This record gives sequence, structure tokens and C-alpha cells, in this order.
Amino acid sequence: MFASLEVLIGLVLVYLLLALIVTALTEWTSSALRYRSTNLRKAVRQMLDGVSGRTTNVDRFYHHPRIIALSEGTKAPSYIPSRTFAEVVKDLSTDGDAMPILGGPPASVDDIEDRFLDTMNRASGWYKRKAVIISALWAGVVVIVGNADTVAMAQRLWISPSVRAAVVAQAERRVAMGRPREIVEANYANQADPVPAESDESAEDQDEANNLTAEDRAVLDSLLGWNVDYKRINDALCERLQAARDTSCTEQGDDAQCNATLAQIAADDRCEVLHGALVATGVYPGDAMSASVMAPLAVGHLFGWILSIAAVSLGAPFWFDTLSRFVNLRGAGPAEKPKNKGDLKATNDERPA
Amino acid sequence: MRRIVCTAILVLVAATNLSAAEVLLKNSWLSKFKNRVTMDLTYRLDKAHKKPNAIGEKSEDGDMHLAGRSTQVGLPFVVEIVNAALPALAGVLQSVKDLTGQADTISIAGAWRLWFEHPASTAQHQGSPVGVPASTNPSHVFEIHPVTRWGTDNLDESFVPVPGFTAHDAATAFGRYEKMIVTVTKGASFTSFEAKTIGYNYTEFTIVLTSVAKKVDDGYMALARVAGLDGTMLVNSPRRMVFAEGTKPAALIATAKAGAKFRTLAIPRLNLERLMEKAKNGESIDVQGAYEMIVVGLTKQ
Repeated sequence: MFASLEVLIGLVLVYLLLALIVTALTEWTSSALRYRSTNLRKAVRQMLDGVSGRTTNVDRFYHHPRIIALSEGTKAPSYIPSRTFAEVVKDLSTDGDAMPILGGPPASVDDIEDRFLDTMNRASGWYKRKAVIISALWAGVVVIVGNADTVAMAQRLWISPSVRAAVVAQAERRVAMGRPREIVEANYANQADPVPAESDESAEDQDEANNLTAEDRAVLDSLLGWNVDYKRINDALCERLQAARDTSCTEQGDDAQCNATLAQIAADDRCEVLHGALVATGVYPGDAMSASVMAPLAVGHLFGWILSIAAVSLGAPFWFDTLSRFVNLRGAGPAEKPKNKGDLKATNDERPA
Repeated sequence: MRRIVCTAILVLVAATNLSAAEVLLKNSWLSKFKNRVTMDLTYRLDKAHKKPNAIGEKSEDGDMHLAGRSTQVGLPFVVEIVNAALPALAGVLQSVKDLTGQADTISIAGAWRLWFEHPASTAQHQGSPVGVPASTNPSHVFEIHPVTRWGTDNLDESFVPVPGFTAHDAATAFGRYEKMIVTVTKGASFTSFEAKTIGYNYTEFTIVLTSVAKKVDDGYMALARVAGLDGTMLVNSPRRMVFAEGTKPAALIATAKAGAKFRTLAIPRLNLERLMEKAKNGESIDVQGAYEMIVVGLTKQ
């Protein structure tokens, strides 16, 4: 019962850690490709120029001093307050050439603002869908590159009590670090929680809970990776070298052949000596890697990878909550901390004066 | 903080020293040498101490340390000349000086010695390419120690007690030798030997022969009980003592009768005969106390 729970805790911890990596990569991608500002511009263009592909009005809009003031250097803003949008559109309309806007001629600044908020709600949805796709793609990359095969990890946890113990101890530490934050969404319409500027989305602003510690990395090292597969591939080479050694390095053997084999053994770190025998190491197999070797390996991992990708795509906060529950269930976990800084602030705000 | 760092380093070093090291010797080499005292080799001398060790206690043994290569050994190894400061060895020391770092080789002979005093962190495979040693003390478990012949110079005279040298206390040293465990795994072409680091090179003790010495190709082998210098019996079961041909100790032992007592200065090595007797194909067997003593100095009591 306990062992099963510990295996689950181990898997959940790995999902959490991988989800944190995926979150960081998604944020990085979004920032590097300026998805938030591009998405916002697309929505604004649709409002001001329709879907014809024309950019006359949107260009005028983005060159307005109040919009330039929201930009960081040459980077377009990733958030525009609705009031500012409405006032700028109104301002551009009074130049004698009324700016058309989606849904017919605007009656007032309030009307423009309402229409802008409607469009921004849709734009937030576009961004969210894009973020989910990016996140899933990164989850695939992280899981496959790291060989995070759920089935293999469960087996490794099941057969090794020492690995389980280390992983559970780290899970407890992880829970104590607090809940990681979600991927920052582009909530363009929410003025109370404005979208951070693209330049602010760097790692320096990430909470401690979103960073991986050395112990976290040790957990991933112990459960992920290609070592076991590499060993399996290297086994064939080591068996071949040992057979060559045991044939040539005898009294009746060929000295030159023996020396050549021993030189190869000494130079090749894919095999090491243990109790006189050559055993495979987890070192990259080099020229032994080929499509014919990799294909069966990939097929063998496919189910485990799919499970992991699906799990990691659920996000770090989900796995943190699950981990907290499992750790508490095991009876070793500390009381749950406030979920995040925002929650803590909200709690304080609600206190009576 | 400093104390913590020092403790951590000490623990790390101790852990390294206590871990088992492994060496693989060719079965053909083992068959040839397990019952021989010495081996002949063509030696290329790469590094040498400028002068012999000082004489004092324990490691201050008066030996001359050399490091080089030989295809007959096929392992990283060192060569040690005992009593190197004796005036009779001046010519040998000059030859050592002349040959160090040169491409020329020299034919030498000496007692082979397998002992886990300075093991490498990875297994050493006899016959693998051996690089130029970086110092006079590369990681090694194999030695030619003591040297019996250097070129045409016979070093028999160096097989005498080292004047002014205090060896390891026999009770302590034999206590360690007796507890030493060697894991032996015999394979089709090689046999693996694994053991934890052990030192206690020179020790001085008394032997009581249990039978007359047996003549072998290059010397004598005798079984003897081991006592301390004060006569206290340390090892009651007979242990093998080996004597290099032509040396003064060999001459003395050749005519000794069972029960004869000798004050003995000797260095330990693995008893390959005993280890190979216990070894089983493909199985790892732990053998305790499989050592024998290379006798350097012998005095009748």
C-alpha cells in the first residue's frame, strides 16, 4: 500500500517538475516570439481594418503617441487599457476622417470601450489556445528528449526503495515550497490584472516555486534519461568485445589480436570491467545508434511517453495540488501553504481593519 | 566551516580508499608466475626519484622508486630497489639516472608483487595500453619489488636488513594481512582480483619453519609460522615465504630445517597460488588472508 502510494508520489513529482520546465519553455517561446503583442495587434487590426488584410487604420492607431507610450522601445505593447483604446480611436476619428470600427460607427467612448473588451475576450481565447498548443509541443519535446516514460519510471520506483525514499523526501520539500504559478495568460480584457509586458516575462520574475532546485534535478536524473536504453544497446558491443578478449587472450590465442582487443576495451567507455566481465555502461552508444536500433526503443516507450505528455500538459499547479494531497495522505507532509502570493495578498486584503 | 569542509574531504578520501579496486591478470600469466618468485622484463624507465628514500620508520625505507613501462607486465607499475643507498648500488643508481626518460630499454628482474596499496579507481586490465606515468607513483597494484637484477648488475647484496630502518609492527601488519579479503573471479582468459586498499609494506618478524623450503625455478618457497620479534605467536597457520634465487636469505633458507627460527624483514604480496586454487570459473569467491611474504632480510636466531 505504502509502496504504491510512494510510486504515485514519485510519478506526480516528476510530472510537476516536468510541467514546471514546460511552463518556463512556453513562457520563453511566447516572449521570444512576442505572441501576446502579436495577438493583440491581430485583434486590434480586426477591429479597425476588418479581415481584408488592410492595415491602414491599425498602423495609424499604433503610431498614436498614447500607444507608443505603452510600448517598450520598438516593441509593440502586449496590453492596452480599454479606456486608452477607446480614447485613441475617438481621437483619430476627430481628425476629419472617422475611424471605422467593427460593428458599425461608434457612438461614444464607452461604446468603443465595450466593443474593445468584447474583442479582447475573444483575443484572450485565441492566445490561450495557442499557449496550450505550444505547451503540448514542449511537453512532447521534454518528455521524449528526457525519455520520461511513465511505465519505466513506475518500474524504477517500484523496484528501488532507496530511489522511492529519496523521491518522497523531495516531494515533501517540494510541497513545502508552495504552489507554482500557472502559465501567464493574455487576459487582455481584465484591467485589474493586466498582462505583463513581454520583457517582464523573464525568469527573474519567476517565483521560487517555479524554479528547479538541485534536489529536483537529482530526482529527474534518477528517474529519467536514456541510460537504461543505452546500456541495452551497449550490451551487444560488450558481449562481442568480451568474446574477442576471451578467445584471443589465451595461451593459444593471437597476441596481436589480444592487444588490439584490449586497446579497444581500454579506449571504449561504453563497457567497463566488473568482476572480470565486461558490462555495458549508460554512455551514449555512438555509432551503434541507428534507426533500426532506435525504432524498437521508441515503440517500446510510446505508451509511457503518451501518458507522460498528457500528464505534463495538465500543468504544474494541477500536479502540485495532487502531490500535496498524496503527501498529506501518506501522513508525512506539512500543512498546505497558501496557494500563491496572490492568494496570500487576497487573504490579507479581506481582513477587517 | 573550515572544519566541515576538512571533515567532508576526509570522509571522501576515506571512502575512496576503502572502496574495492580491481585488477585483471591473464590466466596464462598467472599459470606461469603464481609459483615463481620473480619475473624478467624489458623495462623502459620514464620517471625516477632523484635519490633513494630516507631511512627511518615505515615508508622511510631506503627504497629507490621508479616508474616505467613493460609489455611483459602490461599494467601500470612501479619498480623499487631496496637498500638503494648501499655503496654497492652506486653504479645501478647512475644507470637509473642515465636511463630516466630515455627511449632505451633495459633488461631487469625482480620479485613480482601484486598488492592493493595504490590502486586505480577503475579496473586495470593486464595487456591494455599503458601510458607514460605522470609521476614515480602512478595508480598501480603491480610492482617489481625488490629488484634482483638491473641490466647486468646483480642486486643480491641489497637483500639484507635495512640498517636503521624500523618496519611496521608485526602484530599490526599481520593482523591486517590476515583480515584482507580478496575477491577472485576466474574467467576464460583473465582472472579478476578485487580488494580494498591495504598498505603495511615492510614488516619485521620471526618465522618458524614448518617444513624445509621448496626449490622453485627462481628461488625458494617455505612455509612458516609467524611470531613477533618478542616471540609472541601471531599466525599459527603456516604462511608462504618466498626467497629470490642468489640472495643471502635464499642461501640461508635452502639449508634450514623444519623448526628453524629466523628474524625476517619482508614485504607482502598476494598469494596467487592460493587464490587460483580457490577460484572457480565465472564465480566471485572471497578469499581471506591470501598473502605471502617476499623476504628481503633474514637472520638466523
